[in-house]
This record gives sequence, structure tokens and C-alpha cells, in this order.
Amino acid sequence: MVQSIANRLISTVPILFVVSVLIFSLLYLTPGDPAQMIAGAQATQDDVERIREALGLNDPALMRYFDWLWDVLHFDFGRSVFNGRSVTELIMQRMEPTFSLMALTTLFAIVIAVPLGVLAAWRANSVVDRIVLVLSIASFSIPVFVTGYVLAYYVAFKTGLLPVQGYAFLKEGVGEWLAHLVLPSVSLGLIYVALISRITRASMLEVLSEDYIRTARAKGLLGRRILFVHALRNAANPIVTVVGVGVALLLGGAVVIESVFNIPGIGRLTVDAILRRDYPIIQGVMLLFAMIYIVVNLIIDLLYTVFDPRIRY
Amino acid sequence: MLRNPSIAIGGGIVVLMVLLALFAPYLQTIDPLSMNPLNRMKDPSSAFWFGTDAYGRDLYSRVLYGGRTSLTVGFAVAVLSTGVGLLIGLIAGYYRSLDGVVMRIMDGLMAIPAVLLAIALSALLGGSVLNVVIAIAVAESPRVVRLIRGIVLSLRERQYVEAALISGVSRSRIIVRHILPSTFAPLAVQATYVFASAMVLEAILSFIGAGIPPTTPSWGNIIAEGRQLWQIKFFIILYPALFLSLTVFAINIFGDGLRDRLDQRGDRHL
Amino acid sequence: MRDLKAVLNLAAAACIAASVGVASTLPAHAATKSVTAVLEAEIVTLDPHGTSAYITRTFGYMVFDTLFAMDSNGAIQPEMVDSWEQVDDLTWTFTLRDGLTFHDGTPVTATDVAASLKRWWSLSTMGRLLKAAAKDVVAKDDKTFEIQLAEPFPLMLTSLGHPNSPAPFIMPARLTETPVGQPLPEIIGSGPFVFDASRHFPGDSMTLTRFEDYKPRDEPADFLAGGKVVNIDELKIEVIPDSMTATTALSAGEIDYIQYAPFDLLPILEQDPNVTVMGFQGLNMFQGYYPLNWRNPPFDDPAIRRVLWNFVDQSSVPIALGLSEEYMVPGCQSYFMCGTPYETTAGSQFPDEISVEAGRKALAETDYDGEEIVVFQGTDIEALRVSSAVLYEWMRQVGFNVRIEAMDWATLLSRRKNENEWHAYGVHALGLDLGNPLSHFWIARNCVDFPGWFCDEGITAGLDAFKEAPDDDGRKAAAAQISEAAFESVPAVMWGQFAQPAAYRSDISNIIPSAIPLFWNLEVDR
Repeated sequence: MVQSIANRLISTVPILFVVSVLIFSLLYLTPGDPAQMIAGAQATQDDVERIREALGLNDPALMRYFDWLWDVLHFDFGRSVFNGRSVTELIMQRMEPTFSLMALTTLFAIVIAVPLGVLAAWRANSVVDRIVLVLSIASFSIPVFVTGYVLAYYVAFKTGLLPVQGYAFLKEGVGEWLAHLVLPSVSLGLIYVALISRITRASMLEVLSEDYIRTARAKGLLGRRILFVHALRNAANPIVTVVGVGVALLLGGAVVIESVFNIPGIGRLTVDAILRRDYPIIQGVMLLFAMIYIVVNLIIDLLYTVFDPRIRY
Repeated sequence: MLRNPSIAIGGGIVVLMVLLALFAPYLQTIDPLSMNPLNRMKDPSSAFWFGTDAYGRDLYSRVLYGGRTSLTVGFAVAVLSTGVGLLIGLIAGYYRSLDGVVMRIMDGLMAIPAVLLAIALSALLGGSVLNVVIAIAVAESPRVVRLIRGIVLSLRERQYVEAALISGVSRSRIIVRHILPSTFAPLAVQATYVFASAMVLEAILSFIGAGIPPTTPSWGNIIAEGRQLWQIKFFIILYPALFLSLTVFAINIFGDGLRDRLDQRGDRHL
Repeated sequence: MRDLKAVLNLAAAACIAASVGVASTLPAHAATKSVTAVLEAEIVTLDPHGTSAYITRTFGYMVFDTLFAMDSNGAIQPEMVDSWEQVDDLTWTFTLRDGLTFHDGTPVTATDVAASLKRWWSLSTMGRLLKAAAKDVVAKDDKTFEIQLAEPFPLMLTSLGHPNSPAPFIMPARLTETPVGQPLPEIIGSGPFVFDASRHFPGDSMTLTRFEDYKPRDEPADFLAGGKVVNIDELKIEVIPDSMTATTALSAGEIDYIQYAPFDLLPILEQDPNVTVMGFQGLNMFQGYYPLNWRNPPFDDPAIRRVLWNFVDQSSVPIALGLSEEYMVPGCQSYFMCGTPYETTAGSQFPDEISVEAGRKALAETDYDGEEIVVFQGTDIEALRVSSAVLYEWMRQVGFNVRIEAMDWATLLSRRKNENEWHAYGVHALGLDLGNPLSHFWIARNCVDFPGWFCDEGITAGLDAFKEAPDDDGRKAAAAQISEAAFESVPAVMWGQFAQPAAYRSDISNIIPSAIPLFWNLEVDR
């Protein structure tokens, strides 16, 4: 097992390499110039040129790429062109908000979605099933920032019960932390609820149609325990997969929700860096996202063995 | 059709939206680009059916034309990414020698969240309908590639394909005759999901400030422009958001119906 | 299913912890007096010499100090300087006042001043004037320095005290070795607030604390001049990119100050008893501009450039931005803005009636032959977006063959370098810069390599006259001379003068009315 995890990790190296080449060529080929952003709108061409030179932006692209790659291999992701802070440090500052948001969202979504999905499968084709279906597609169809604004205005601002914006670090108290994250997690979680409840329903339907369950059901033996424990366990693998696939979705949604609720997370760091052409940050964050994606997929594969002992690595 | 109300309802709404978009020039009341600062943020009335935005432009006409752009983006992305995805997927699935390289690149693209990849591409390329379509299509294609490749891989193990190979039928002929037809159903289902998610992504790009410029109205950029004002005038985002959500909803329902009908699994994602 | 149970247990534990957490965080507010502000943008570049960005100048005035500073009448007053003397036409000596210290505890010396000025003057418009006239800046002793000139320079005090960005901020000599463009290794100034890197979270927040060893001047605070007495313990500057969110946070009391209140929300904020709206006048107002590209036909033809005077009225864009008349100067026709020292309408080419109709007529009389006009539109700042959109619409109606290209500001700045890609774009700048020909971006950049590439000998002559004028009357006459030339050759067309009002919680008092947010002098009553 250790061996296979190691193999999987090694096989991610080419993916990371591809990501780095893709991102670097993207930045190289498109307009926009950090030197111009630093100098400001009123700077003359000479000023900008001097700053380009000072930042090493005039070096050949291939040389810049290999310099950067060399540093990355030594775990040095470079420094922000604008404030000189190390990319690693900047990313570390943003880890907690983004991961808190994602963890709470996932928790919220699973707690809501799995019972909903089980219910819909149990009462397949009933009114309940239809309602769950329509609600879940509807939540999928409303842009996440619209949900966010509506919740911020009507739930937080009008009632004053929750903060309108911002983030409180865990060290400021769990209550504050949670209060700042409720609305962002709910807005972001709605899409996720739709996704998970649908797959739960589909997966449960398949299990419920198996002979032993049908027999039990026919005999009136199918209690809540059997439904939620045995059937759900057998239906778990597709659910876990979707939860995992959803992480990429969440990372994307986090970019938007972090802007709406002003949460200083990795998503906003990325968007700011893109709009400002802070190349080292863009490169570092994209690599980080790729790594998260890979690690999550690895965890999913490992979880399969937990839910389905027949699979062995 | 009757057995499957999803296709009827979803399809009906989509057709209606397409008609509205197609006949926008005849249905509009006021030039959607014409600004009049004196008519800023007027409430809906007989003159301005959906009210006016911050520039005094008529929201009803903008929403009509916005449908054109949004539907075009959704359709173009669906065609482009399924087309490109199909081609690459067939090649990767069939020519094992290329598979490794192609799939590593696809893995690399998929490892970056689609929203972020689209934002980066669109922001860096500069906002225009074409660039937004390209940005979203690049972000959406790898999943299509993966779907097709999987189908091809499973098909080429089938006996009739092997039999054809042994009897000397050329590879391209096998692809066209035996493999391609089997990809159509899952591809059609996937295309509807891509269609829907491309329209939502377009709105997100506008929200971030990397979308289509407001001189070409789209549902996404009308919402994005109106979001500074919606606490004062809710209708500014209400109508475009309603149209966008309803259309995306309809396409999704349609896709689900199609999937049930064809008994295919699609890969839904944002 | 053990796993799900574990998850639920965890959730229950979290809920309990949450309720305990709420209780325990309540009395956390100690006696620190703190103000939380949201400024126009994030303070991205911390090097106060490194950029012309306004937000860095704002940061500069808090953390760094200047030799001279401008008061509310536009006059230049001593700040770090105690006394000075013009020895002869080519020699000025200055003495620093007692007790000036940097935040690391070392005293401010004349050596630091000389090194800082030489770093500042390469990127700054005002600095370049001084650099061109100067032979050297020499430290005579710890507190005295001498500026030796190659030619007489009547604008000496203006250049050392003008807030045109980047302003001449003083930093320790060792920091001046970092080339402009590279981030400074540490941020150490001698201003009234201290920057602490460990409390800086780029993209999120920055906390500045009061500099306990700051020795304010005895005079009362007067705009950028006078005694900078800080009455709060710390200033937290938060980044909230969404102005709607920021305004809601201000109303909810989560923040105390926003530099740019969204125009459309002003009526709501004005009615909020807990919020005060601060409007601005004169040099603290903004003026919008459409810079024109002289190198891209048909705008190489001055007659076609002049057509714009006929339809760019000075109220439509501010109104489209959502401003009411009290926050604008409708119909201001002065290159150097209205309500300012150098206000002039000399040579005005504005017709009596400014309209699309007039534009159409004027265009018909030119050689315009349907060449395509490209308007660049910056999308990430509202005034850029709106002004460019309105220009596009005007030109379309007037009969130009016009296309608009939207892009973020970063792209616009880099693409405007390509002379054949664009003709015009909308932008705005602060009166502190535009109110003086020497710091006016579309006048002072005459005949240098600056996007737009305008070059008018009449403006050059006027600028020289302005520099050499011995007194203010002479400078006013020169400003009029420049205005005449500029209306004729049209380096840029203005689109309106307006204020960007700030808003703050009403328990803050004695705030200095300034478009550059200043956080000394103000008091908080909580």
C-alpha cells in the first residue's frame, strides 16, 4: 500500500510539470506587464523600462522559466513582484480561510445532501423525489454570487445576526470564526448539495434495486438502520467520488464567494494576482491547486478501499 | 416525449429563449446600447418594461440581446469543446502511443479548477466574446476528452472491433464506422451540461471583471454591472438573473431527460 | 458507519465549542483606540518612490515624512525642515528640525535626506525638474544639507513640498540603495505611523501603529502641513474590493471609514445618522480626461481632435456615474480645473452649445473619411468604464466609425504603448496633480515618450515660461498661455470635474478634509 501511494505520488510529477509549462507560456504569451503596474499610469516609457530591467523581466523567457523551475525544485516559489513577500508566506496566510470555508461547505453539503438523496431514492418518483430534484437543479442554475449577495443582504444585514463580510481566524474564537463562515458556506454549499444529493439518489437506487434489498423490502424488513447503514455503505463509492470531484468545483466557487464576502483566501489572492500580473504568485498558486487536486484524488482512491474492501492497492 | 416531461419542459423553455434571442431586433423597444444619463435607474414602466440601468439603457432590450450573447457563448462552447474533446479523445483512446502524452496534458489542465483556468485565460487574453468562448472551452474540453477516451478504450476491446481489425479494415474506417457512432449519445448529454455550465461561467467571468465587455450585453455582464446597485434597485439584476437561471435550469432538465432517455451517464460539473 | 458517527460527534463538539467561543470573545476589545479604514484600492507597492499610484502616496504620508508640505491654501510650508536659506541663485541650504527619528530609532540625518532626494527625483515629475536644474545635493553636517544648482530654480520649495505622486518622502540612506522597481527590504520612515511587516497581510489588511517618538510641529494640522498629532493607537487598513460590501460594512459599524463611497449609495449614507459623508472642493476634486493618441490617424489631424470639444459636455459622465450636482462642478472648462489657483478658460474651444448635433456639424467640416476609431475601456474601475462607454456612445452618434475594446486596467496600460492600437480612453486624476501645469499628466508629458505622444511647441514654451516665472502672477499668465495652446492642439479632452466623497462613522471627529486620506488629528469617541 505504501508502495502504491509512493508510485501515485511519483506519477504526479509530470502533471505538475505540464501545469507549470502551461501557466508559464500563458503568462509569457499574453499582454500585461507588472512593471507598468508598479510604475503607475503616469510613468513614461523610460520609467517602465528601468523597472522591467530591475525585475529581470527583460531576460529571455526560457531562461526565466528554468530559473523559476530550479528555485521551485528547491522549494523556493519566488517573491511577489509588488511587495517582495515570499509566495510561500503569502499562500500560508491564506490557507486557513480557504480551507475553513471548504471544510465547512463540504460538511454542510454532506449533512444536507446525503439524507435528501436517500430520501429521494427511498421514495423514488414520488412528489418528494420530484421536489428534491427540482430544488437541486435550481440551486445549480443560480450563479453563486447572486445567492451570496441575497443572503448577505437579507440574512446578515437586515437582521444583524451575522457579520456581513470578513473572516475571523480560529485564534479569535471558534464562535466568531463560525459566524463569519455560515453564509459563505451555505451560498457555496447549495451547488454542492445539488450535486451530492443527485448522486446519492442514483447510487442508492442502484443498491435498492439489488435482490437482497428488494427481498427485505418485500418482507417489510427494510428499517431505517438497513437503509442508512447497509444500503448507504454500499452506495458510498460514487458519493465519495463526487465529493472529491466537487473539491475542484469548490475551489472555483471559493474564488467568487471570497470576493462577495471579503474572505482573505487563496481564491482572492489568485484573482488579484491575475488582474495585476504578479507572475510568481500566479505560478505558485496554480501549482498549489494542481497539488491539492492530485492529493484529493489520491485520498478518494484510498477511501474506496475503506468502503469497498474488495479494492486493494 | 410524453413519457419524458423533462425533455418537453426543458426543451420548450430553451426553444422559447432561442426564439426571443433570434427575434431580439424585432422585439426590442429601445436600442440596447443607447445611453441616457437622465434616465438612470428608472423603475419598470410602460416606456421601460424592465426599467433602466445605471447608464439609462433599457434593460428589457438589453436582456433580449443579452440572451443572444449568453446563448451564443453556451452553444459555441458546447460545440467547440465537444468537437475538440471528441477529436482528442478518439486519438488518445485509439492511438496508444499518443495516449500518455495527451492525457498528461489533460490531467494538467484538469488539475486547475475550471473557473480559475477560465478567469486566467480570459483576463490574460482580454475580454471579447471570442476570447471568453475560447477560455471556457479550454477549461471544459479535458472532461470531454476523458469521457470519449473511456468509451473508445472500452469499445476497442469489443469483439466486433477486433474482428474488423483482423480482417484488415483500416483504422480510420473502424473509428468512423464502429466507434464514432457509439460516442454520439454520451456526447449529446455532455454537450447540454457544458452548454449550461458555460453560461454560468460566463456570468462568473463578468463578475470577476474578466468577461465580455458591457457594450456587448450578456446576461452575465448585465448582472455583474448591476450588482453595485441591486440593493437600491433590485430589478437591475432580477431580470437578467431570472432569464439566466431559468435557461440554465431548462438546459439542465433537458440534459437529464436526454440522459434518462438514452440511458447514458454524463459528467456534470461547473 | 462508524465514520459518520465520528463526523457527527465532531459536529456536536464544534457546536458546543462555538457557543463557548461566542461568550469568550466578547470582552476582547481592550483599551486600544483603533480605526478601520477601507481605501481606494489595496496598497500594493510599499516603496513610496517606486510608483505614481495614489494609494502608495497615501501610505507614504502616513509612514514617511516630507521636507515641506502643502497647506489647505496650496501654499508650501516647512515640515521636517526647521529653517532654510537661499544663499545665492544657485545655492540653497536647509536645516532639519530637532528630534526627527526613524522608526528603527536612528536619527534622521542630512545624509538620509540627500540620498532619498536622489532616489526620488528619477521617477517623479516634480523631481525631474529639480534633477534637471541641480548639480548635487550635499550633506553639510548631521542636520544641514545644501542643494547646489546648475541653473536658477524658482520652484525649489514647490518641488520639495508638492504632493504630486511620487512625493519626496525621506527614508534611511541604506534603503535608498534598492533600485526603484524592486521591493524595499524593509519599510522604515519617520512619519507619524509605523509599518509592521508582521501585521501586514497583503491583499487583506495592514495595521499601522502610532509612532510614539514622533515629534509633531507646533502649528495646528493644516492639510498635509502642520503638526501631525495622532490620537489613535492603531489604524487598520482593510482591503474590501467590492464597494457594495464595504458600504454595508460601514453602515453595520464593522469598519469606520471608506475613501470612496459608491456614488449611488450617497443618498442612503447621507441619511444614516451613524455615518458622515465628506465631500471635497478644488484641488481635492477629480477631473476626468480622454487622452488622445496623436500618432494614430485620423487623430494626427488636430482639426479632427478638436471636434471632440463640440460634444464632450462636462456633466454627462459624472451624472452617468451617479453623482448629484453638489459633488461636481458642472460645465468646468478649465484644463487646470475650477476653484483652483491656475483656473483659466483662455483659448477655450467649447462652443456655446455642446451637443451631438454640434459634433456632427463640426465633424462634417473636417477631412474625416470614416477611419476606424478605437476607444480603450478599462473595466475594473467604475469611472474608467463609464467614461469610455459614454465617449463611445457620443462618437457613434456623432458619426465616427468607432469601436470600443474593453480590458482590465493592467492590459490597458500595457496596450496603450502600441501607438497604432488605440485613439482614446477615459481616465481621471486628482486636482492636486492636474491643478498645476508642471504636474498635469496631459500637459507636463508634452514631447516625451508618453502614450498619446502629444507634442506641441506652444505648450513647451508655456511650460518653460511657467518654470521661469518669478512670481505667481507670472505663473498664472503662463498657465493661460498653455491653456490656449492646449485647446488648439488637444493633447486630451476633459469630461468633468467631480468629487469622490469619503464616508465615516459619525463618532469620528476632527478629520482633515483631504482627498488623500489622513489619519492624524482625527479623534474617536467610543
